Amino acid sequence: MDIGYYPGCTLHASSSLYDVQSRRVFNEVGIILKEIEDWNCCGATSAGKVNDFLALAMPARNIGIAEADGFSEIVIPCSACYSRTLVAQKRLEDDPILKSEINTELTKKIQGTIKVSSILEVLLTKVASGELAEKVSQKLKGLKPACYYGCMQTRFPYKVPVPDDVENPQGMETVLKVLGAKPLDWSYKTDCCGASAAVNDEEAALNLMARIMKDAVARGANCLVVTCPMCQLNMDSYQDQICEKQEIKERLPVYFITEMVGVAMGVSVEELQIDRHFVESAELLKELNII
Amino acid sequence: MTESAREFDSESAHPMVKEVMERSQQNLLACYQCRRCAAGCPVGEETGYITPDRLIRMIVLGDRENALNNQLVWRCVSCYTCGTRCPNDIQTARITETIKKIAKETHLDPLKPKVAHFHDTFVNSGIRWGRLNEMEFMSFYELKNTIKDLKRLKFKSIYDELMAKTKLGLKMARRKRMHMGFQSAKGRSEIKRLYEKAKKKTD
Amino acid sequence: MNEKESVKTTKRGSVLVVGGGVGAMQSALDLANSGFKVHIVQKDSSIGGTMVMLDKTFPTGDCSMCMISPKMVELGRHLNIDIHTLAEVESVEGEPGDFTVKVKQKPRYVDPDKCTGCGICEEKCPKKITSEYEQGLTVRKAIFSLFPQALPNTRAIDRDICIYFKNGKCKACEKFCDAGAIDWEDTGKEFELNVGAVILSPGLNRYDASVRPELGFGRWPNVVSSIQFERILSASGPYQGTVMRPGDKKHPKKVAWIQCVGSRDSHNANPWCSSVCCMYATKQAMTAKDHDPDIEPTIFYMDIRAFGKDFDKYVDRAKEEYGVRYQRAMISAVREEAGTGNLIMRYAGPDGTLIDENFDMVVLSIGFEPHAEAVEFAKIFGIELNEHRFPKTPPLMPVETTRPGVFVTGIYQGPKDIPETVMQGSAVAGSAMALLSEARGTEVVVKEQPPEKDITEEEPRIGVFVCHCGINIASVVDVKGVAAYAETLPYVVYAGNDLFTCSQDSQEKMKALIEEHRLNRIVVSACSPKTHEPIFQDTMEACGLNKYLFEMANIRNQDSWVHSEAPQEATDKASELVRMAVARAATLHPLYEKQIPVNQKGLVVGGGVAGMNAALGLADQDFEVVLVEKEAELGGLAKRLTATIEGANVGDYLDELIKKVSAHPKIEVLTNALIISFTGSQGNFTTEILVGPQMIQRKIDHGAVIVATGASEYQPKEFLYGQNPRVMTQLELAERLQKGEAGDAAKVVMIQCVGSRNEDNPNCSRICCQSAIKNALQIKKVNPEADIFILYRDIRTYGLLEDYYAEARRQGILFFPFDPEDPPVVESSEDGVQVSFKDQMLDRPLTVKADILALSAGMVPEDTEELSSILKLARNPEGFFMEAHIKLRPVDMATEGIFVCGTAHSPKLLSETISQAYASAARATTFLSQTELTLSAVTARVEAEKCASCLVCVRSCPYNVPKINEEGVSEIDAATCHGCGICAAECPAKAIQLSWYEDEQIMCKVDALLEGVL
Repeated sequence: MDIGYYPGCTLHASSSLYDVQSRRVFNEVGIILKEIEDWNCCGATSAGKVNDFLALAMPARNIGIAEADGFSEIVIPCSACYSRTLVAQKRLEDDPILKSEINTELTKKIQGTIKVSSILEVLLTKVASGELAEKVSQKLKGLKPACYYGCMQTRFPYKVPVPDDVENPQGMETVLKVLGAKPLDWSYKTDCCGASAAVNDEEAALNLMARIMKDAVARGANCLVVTCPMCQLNMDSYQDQICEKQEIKERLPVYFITEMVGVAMGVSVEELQIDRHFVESAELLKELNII
Repeated sequence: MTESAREFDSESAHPMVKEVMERSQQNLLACYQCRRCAAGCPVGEETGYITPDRLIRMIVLGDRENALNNQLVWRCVSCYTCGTRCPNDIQTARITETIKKIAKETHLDPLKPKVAHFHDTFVNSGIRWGRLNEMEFMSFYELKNTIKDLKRLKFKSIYDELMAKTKLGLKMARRKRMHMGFQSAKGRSEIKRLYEKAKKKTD
Repeated sequence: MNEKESVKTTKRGSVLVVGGGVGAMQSALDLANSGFKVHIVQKDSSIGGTMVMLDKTFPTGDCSMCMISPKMVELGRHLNIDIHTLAEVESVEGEPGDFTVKVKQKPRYVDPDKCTGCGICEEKCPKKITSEYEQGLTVRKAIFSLFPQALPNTRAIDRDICIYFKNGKCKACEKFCDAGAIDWEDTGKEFELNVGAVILSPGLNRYDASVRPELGFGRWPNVVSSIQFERILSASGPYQGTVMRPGDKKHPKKVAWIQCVGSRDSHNANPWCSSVCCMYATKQAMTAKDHDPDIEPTIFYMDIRAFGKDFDKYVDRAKEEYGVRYQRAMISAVREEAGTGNLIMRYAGPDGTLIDENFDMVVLSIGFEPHAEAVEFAKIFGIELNEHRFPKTPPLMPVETTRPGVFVTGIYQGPKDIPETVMQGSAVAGSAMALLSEARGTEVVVKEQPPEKDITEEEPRIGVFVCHCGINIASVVDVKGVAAYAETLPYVVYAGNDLFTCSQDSQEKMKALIEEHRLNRIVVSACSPKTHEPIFQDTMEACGLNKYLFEMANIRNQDSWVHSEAPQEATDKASELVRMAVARAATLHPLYEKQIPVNQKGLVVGGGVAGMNAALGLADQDFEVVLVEKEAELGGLAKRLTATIEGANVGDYLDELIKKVSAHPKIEVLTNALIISFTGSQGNFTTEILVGPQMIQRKIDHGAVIVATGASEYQPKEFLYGQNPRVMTQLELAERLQKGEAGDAAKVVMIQCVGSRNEDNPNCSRICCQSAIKNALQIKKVNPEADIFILYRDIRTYGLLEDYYAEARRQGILFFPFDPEDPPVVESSEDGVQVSFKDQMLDRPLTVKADILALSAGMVPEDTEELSSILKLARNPEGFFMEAHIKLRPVDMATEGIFVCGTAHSPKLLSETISQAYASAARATTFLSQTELTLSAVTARVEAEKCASCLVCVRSCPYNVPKINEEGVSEIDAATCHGCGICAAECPAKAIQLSWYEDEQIMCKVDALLEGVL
């Protein structure tokens, strides 16, 4: 089946591996991700700090496009893009004047009826139907992931229909259990990694990332699994720096949920581009005889 | 934070509270000082302990100077933890966003210029091409930082920043995470028009 | 069966009580003791409610079960109370005075007539499930009783998990039940009840803390809910009272409480305050420390709501004597430390720094919320709910609902603690009594006994009944051997065994044996007289034997239960206990309970809102009342009140009330009246009063007294009160606002706790927080731009009053906490009052030039020094009257027949005063409704010739009973004597004997025990 797909800017840039993985993995379970036409940047968390109207208008345009393209559902893997789009949809629903103000400038007008889904929501439908389990050819035995959700996936600045429990989400854990891994509970699963502060306020962000690392390591996790490309980039590219400062010997590979699904389905590390991580991520899988 | 006693001045307090409440759409008056947000704020230690509840109090008392010029406004990462757990449903991240904008409008020099530069260039890049091009955006961002630091004669700062970012860039290139392509959206004119509309709203 | 002739009335003389907690119990007992038949319909398999799950209670530290069991036992035995458990109401039709109620009762699968409560079925049942009662900390069986002291003690089978019901196997319970009580064919039943009034007391649910996963409940093993902690503290709970943490059963050292979980949260939980959590957390902290002195408790809070009588003193004790640390900061998340099971919590310190602290255990103070079925439940009874799904009640009559004849009480009406629940239980009984007073006595059953045999000329002929108690006694003690031994004892003419001496058929057997062997003394060797003595005494009376010819030997609680590993020694001990009991039985002689006539008239002291409502409460039931007021007018403090915070007009209410009271044919109002003397005892008091400016002497004979002397506003000496016209009390501010003045004030500052919570008056005056907010909201109505600053120590808007605090903040009223060591400073200036205080949030001083400074002055009781010495009533150091028991008898005074209500008891809101007034009327009615009072025969007697007038008895009696009479010797009035025996023990001349515990009757037991030894 076809589903609308909004990759967002970063999935076509530094997190392009997430885009590759998503397409591949969804394909396996019969979902074709159809990128919506001529989408624009959603503004992420920056637009809200510049102008409130713009912060809604930017992601809202994509809703109009997706609906005009004929999709009933659109999946957005990037947590920030997902959050902004969901909030925009709800804000416009609650404020018809605002909606018409934005629509006057758009060719593809927003109805606001499309289902905006996170990547986990779509994956979970395949878990519920059993189709994901069928495709598992290689159980992820020995993997003890700490599922890290971050902020944008879990908490929203407006009342929206939340996809999972706000304080103790279980989406990744559910998927990983089907894949044969043993995710563990830990105290930092929805804590902030610092996001863009890693670039513009490094010291603060590093402290945040350090706390997350410490708890995951103390819990005995052997990897982190994420859905947000910003969290992945941060925890992956800064891990050496943090661990050296905090004198942590261990390194935890930071996998995208799609990488986990892909590996379990037997897709190669190269195809999934797992070899593009900063922290060496294929070794662990080899050690556990998963690949 | 001890200073001489301030006299409560409703002439400065009332309009400030009103403005922040309207623009952020948060009812800051509902706060009952439970300190929950302070306990949950991930950057609490970095802000000199200016926590969301204290920021709210500053606004309510009409302390414009401190409200616009404190570490929390600039260091807030919009993680929304404060608002999610607030028993009175006050989303302080929306308040810090609002104050960042008010500060900009009053031409106040931001306490953390890099943060301001980041968000400005991000949005500008996003509008310019319809999609963000990381290399392009980062270049403009670093340019702004460099100019600022030059004005302040902070040469070491410039050096450190550029070194760090270059190192990161090289690492990313090695890991094939650096995207050399260029992306844009044809419909970016629509976004530009919406931006013009947006600017008119705040004037 | 004996029913009073039906007076011409269409009203029923019975009441339905829905629920079985302490509130329901109090209502039921008050009604049944006043001549009404009561039906209790309880959803669970036992009565008990929330209170039975608690360990100790605040502020006395009394064990919850110890306090409630006597009420439960009294209820269970009451002839005029029918308990229907596992039952729910399906519909209510009819009018006040005559309702038809359909009840559906679920099957129990155990026959209550046959079951003796021995518990062997539960022991043998193989099917386990997590126990809801023990909050998931341990398991229960498929056949179970809710808790060990359940009433009825009949087990019930949980059909959903029972192996027999699920797949036809097992039946272990039936196999082992000696009484043949298992009934697989039970289908439950449906029946109708015809009652005059319905009282709803179904209680509330507890908030489920697992809804807040960031607090770790259900995630981290060492995070528990407060109710789980109660079970942990309880000696009959899963850890037998040892404080351990569930994760690894270690003894925790640092324990933290997080307050307001599920309460005061309009975003993620419930907006109201649950009223009891601040106090219970304090109690738990102190009790935990009592169990284990190494524990270091910390309580994280926002406001400590210790607003009840003597509650602030309790919290002060916790701080000073127990070292409980109170930290004013809420917790955002509870994180578990990997590997240790400890919890790490971050909080903001007083100077704003963020502190991470490690704790061994965290307790979440969960609040109350309406049951999930609250809406359907309300529909069944036809009552309306408010926005929070609590029953809608009029602001000045909190027990009434939108449907006349249907009343509400207890926490169902609104979150409250046990004393308030008990009080409201009596209040609602009073309301029902007022409604149904003409039908009093029409449906009650009065016991008829055959005439008593005269056995004084006979030699003692003792019958000894040794009980097996199923296997409770028989598995350890050789009961047959003990019975054989008993036969050898002097005066014993019969000794035998029963499987369960307390069962119905054993009673019939006993009756037959009494006749057959012409027994005139009975000894039962079984369990505790506390619970079972009355059963056997009933049987004796049915055979014409005086009930005081009875003795019990406890060979269960005091023998088989505590010596289960030493059966031979236990059997020997049982024999000794029986020997002692037999020896005493031989010395017993009949005792006669005196009957005294009751003067069915009430005297109410105080003509304020409390006194007037109490008077009406009695007068509407046709009792004559004399209302004594020392001022020239009725009204009391209420004359100065304007409106309640809900907006009810107090002036109108007061006028109506005064009119009603003045015109009532049964009430005589004496104003300008002074009480000068008081004598007598319950049912027969005589009071002398000087009335009017001419001081005419009146002598009133009456049966009951209700003290409602009230209180007044503290006159501040601090903060420039009296020196600056801009400084006023809240009452004065309210008066001015009503007159339309003070509305143009642009800046108003209010200071809380003036005259309260200090050295002179350590307690909270309870009404000031809501009074300040009420006035502040009123000012905002007139001038929305006004800036109002409320400087407080704790904001105590408890229960549903929390809504008003939220509204006040919403409207921009600002709140600033201050420490008592650093109070606000007030200075006069030319055009205002300069108030300087510290803003703790920003840690810097702030000053406001106020147009008005309103002081929330506390409540001081009226001067009752002389009155209390005339009436011989105790008062606490602050001058409020001291009730008999702060939790269980909150309107009774220690002297029988005297009651207290209103602010004379402690500061309270107008609605609470009205409630307590009705409660005191109800309590008084429990004996005023009888023409005669039966006194206990267990009273002390002075042998005048031996008395040396040393006054030891006078000084040692806790009830002030012994008096030196005209002959100069001590005399004890049997009517007021409580039978405690202290005077008998203290008298150095052995001039006092306590009936039924005479020296000989006690000494013979010692002699019997030491036979052959000395």
